Amino acid sequence: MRRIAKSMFGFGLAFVGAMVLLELFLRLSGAGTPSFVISDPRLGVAFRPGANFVFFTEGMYLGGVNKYGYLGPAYPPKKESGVLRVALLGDSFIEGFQLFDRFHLRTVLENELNRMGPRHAEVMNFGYSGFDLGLMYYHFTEVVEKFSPDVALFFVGQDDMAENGEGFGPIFSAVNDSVRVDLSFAQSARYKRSMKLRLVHRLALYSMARNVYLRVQEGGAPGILLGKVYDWFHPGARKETPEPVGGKDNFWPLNKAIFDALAVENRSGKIRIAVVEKRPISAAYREYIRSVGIPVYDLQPVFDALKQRGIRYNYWPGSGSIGHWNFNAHEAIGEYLAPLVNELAPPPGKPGDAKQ
Amino acid sequence: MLFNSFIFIIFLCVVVPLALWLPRRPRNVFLLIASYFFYGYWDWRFLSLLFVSTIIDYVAARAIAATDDPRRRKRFLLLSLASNLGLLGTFKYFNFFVDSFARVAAHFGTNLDFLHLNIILPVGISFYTFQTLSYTIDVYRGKMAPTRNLLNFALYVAFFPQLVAGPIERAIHLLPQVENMRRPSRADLSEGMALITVGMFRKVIIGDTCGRYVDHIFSGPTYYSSSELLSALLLFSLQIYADFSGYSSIARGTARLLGVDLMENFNQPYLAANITEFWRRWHISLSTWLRDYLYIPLGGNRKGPKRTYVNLFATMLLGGLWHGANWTFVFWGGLHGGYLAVHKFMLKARKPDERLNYTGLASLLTFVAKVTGTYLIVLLAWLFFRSRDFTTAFYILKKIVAWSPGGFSARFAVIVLTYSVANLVLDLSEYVTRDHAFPLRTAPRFRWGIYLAAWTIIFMYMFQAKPMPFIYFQF
Repeated sequence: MRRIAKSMFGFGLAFVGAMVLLELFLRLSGAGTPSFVISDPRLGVAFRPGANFVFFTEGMYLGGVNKYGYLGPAYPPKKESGVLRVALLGDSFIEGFQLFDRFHLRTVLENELNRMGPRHAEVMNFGYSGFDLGLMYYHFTEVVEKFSPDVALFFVGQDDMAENGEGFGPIFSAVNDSVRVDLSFAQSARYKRSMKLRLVHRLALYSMARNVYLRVQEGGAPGILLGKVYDWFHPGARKETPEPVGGKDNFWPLNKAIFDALAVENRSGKIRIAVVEKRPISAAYREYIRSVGIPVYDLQPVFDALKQRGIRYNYWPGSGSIGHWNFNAHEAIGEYLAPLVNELAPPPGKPGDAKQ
Repeated sequence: MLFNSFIFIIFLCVVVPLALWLPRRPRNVFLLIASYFFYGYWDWRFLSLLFVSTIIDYVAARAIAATDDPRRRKRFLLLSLASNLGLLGTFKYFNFFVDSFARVAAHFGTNLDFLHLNIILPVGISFYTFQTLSYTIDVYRGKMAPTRNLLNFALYVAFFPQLVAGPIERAIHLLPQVENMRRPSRADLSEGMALITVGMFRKVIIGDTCGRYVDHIFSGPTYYSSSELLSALLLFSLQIYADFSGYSSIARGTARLLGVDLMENFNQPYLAANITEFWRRWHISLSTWLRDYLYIPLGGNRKGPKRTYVNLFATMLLGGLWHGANWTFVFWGGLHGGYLAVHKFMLKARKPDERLNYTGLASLLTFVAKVTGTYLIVLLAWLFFRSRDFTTAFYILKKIVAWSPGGFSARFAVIVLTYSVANLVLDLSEYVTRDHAFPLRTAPRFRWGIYLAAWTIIFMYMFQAKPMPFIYFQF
């Protein structure tokens, strides 16, 4: 009995000790990434301020979340006078965890604006993977506005239009042409569970285990375990189907309400807002956005110009994958947007200055 | 079928128990079928090449042994050489030479692009052709008698643990084991488990994870700073070692579970104190093959010092070409040939140092200095091995040499240090215990706890990430 207990103790000690060392290895090497998001009762999820991590997708990201909870340099909420502050909002394309911050369009745009002068420019990255227009708008009102940006660029495609579906986070709906936000998720069992596990979330091993769990949930287990054998018996099962792009849709009232609210902000004179078409949006949306006074900038000419130069703007040779914008795309987009931002919010004393 | 995949683990869980349960003769039949299934899993069309190579060498060896006429013997040897090297030349090198020739012809206004063939490189062809060649050459030299059992010979060629990336086993070592396949003992099973665990950890947790940094940086070097490029190069040296030595460990461990002993292929090469010793520790099966079937037939060191250096250089040049159809691999081989020639010149009649002979701090510091120096020249050669072309290699080299301090990231330094320490811990464990299955040196209760931790993280990583193929599969 004593021998069994001794063996079990030794086994347990070795297992725990080895797992501790592996956790350390994963964190230091970047082979595993502890969660860099936290549950938030207003936002649903938010970046964990001060988190530092390595992230691999099609590309590679080495960086972190600044102390104010967004990506890139830590510009404080209080803006110095004479500074042009630009906020970028969008999904994973703006979040940009495929490349270092110094290659991001944020940095390119900032450098271009500083080069063009005469003002000092600060460009802030509020991108967050999975954000749709509803979450972008909500984040804008709850977080971004506190940093007093002069310009806010909303990067959207048709697939980013808000949907009032269920999810872990705020739920949006249009009520009497206004946006209503339902924060009842903060009372849900799922939210409470995530709060209890918030320390565990900071383990790289937990993140790995969670990724495994999510893949099993998605139904990916048989394909991963059986590889080609699975494909032999289920040909075509693992291929993705393309998303359709539509015109007006079921969520038109909600998105209309969001654009109306942004138009009010735009007309206030405190901030200039523009929509950047990262992927085509329907003509109906485009016309409406322009009709409420918000400019729409199309990125397609940027991508066409890159294609003409023989550059594939979403190809990543390191991983051999196609996906988010690569180095060339970020550089081209940043350079393209710089004069447009200057036009949108010209320096004081220049024509078009809203404060004249 | 990748070793670092769940389907391989399932395959092993089916094959090993069945193989152990079957009597000897049906066991060999079963293992041959399993080996062909393993190889055909990649692409069933290449089974025909494996089969043809097997038949030709079986017949050629028997024909060589059946006659005393030197001309007939030579003819059958040439048949074996021509068929194996012909296969290799066609599938691996045809387009390389055609494209190189076409680039030269283009300068004279001639377009030879039409000669380029649409060929897929069969996995493992460089390994099994060298393996079967060694068999016919050894029979020709009278070192061994040919086998009269086609089934056993076919299993020797196609034995799945070492089929696609070595070790390149000599028939003298592996064929008798195949012909007298024994049941594994408890010690074999323990050792097999230890080797597979260490191998999978090296390959999946060290090799694959640090390889991601390498792939991204080498695919776009112009975007990165001097320190980031140097980090990528250092990480590549760890990746290729972890990847290949991990594979060899898994191969040896798997064979052990079947009662077969495969040769060691790596012996802590980055702890070598000089380049000659490095090549006695790195890819041992290939370096000994090149020594026995290329360097010595060229004359070895028997025809004077100058010819020795030429033979060394030529052998390593061809060794580089074996690795891949690209002039960067040839250059890599040439660099190592040059290093070896210079070292041979420096050594004169002395033997190269081997293990550390600790006599005090000075001896340790000298050893560390020699190991570091050897590592640095090997690292320089790795730059050409990894780069897709000379432009990339020289760009990176220039950027590292003309060091610019900008873009230095302490985070990158920590990453490199972490992988280096992890690799060093594994290597030192092997070096000190003189045993690749060093986990067996711990008490079982601790060992099983460590195994469980290792396999937990290995499985989790395999589940969430796309399996990266072994680097040497492309050779």
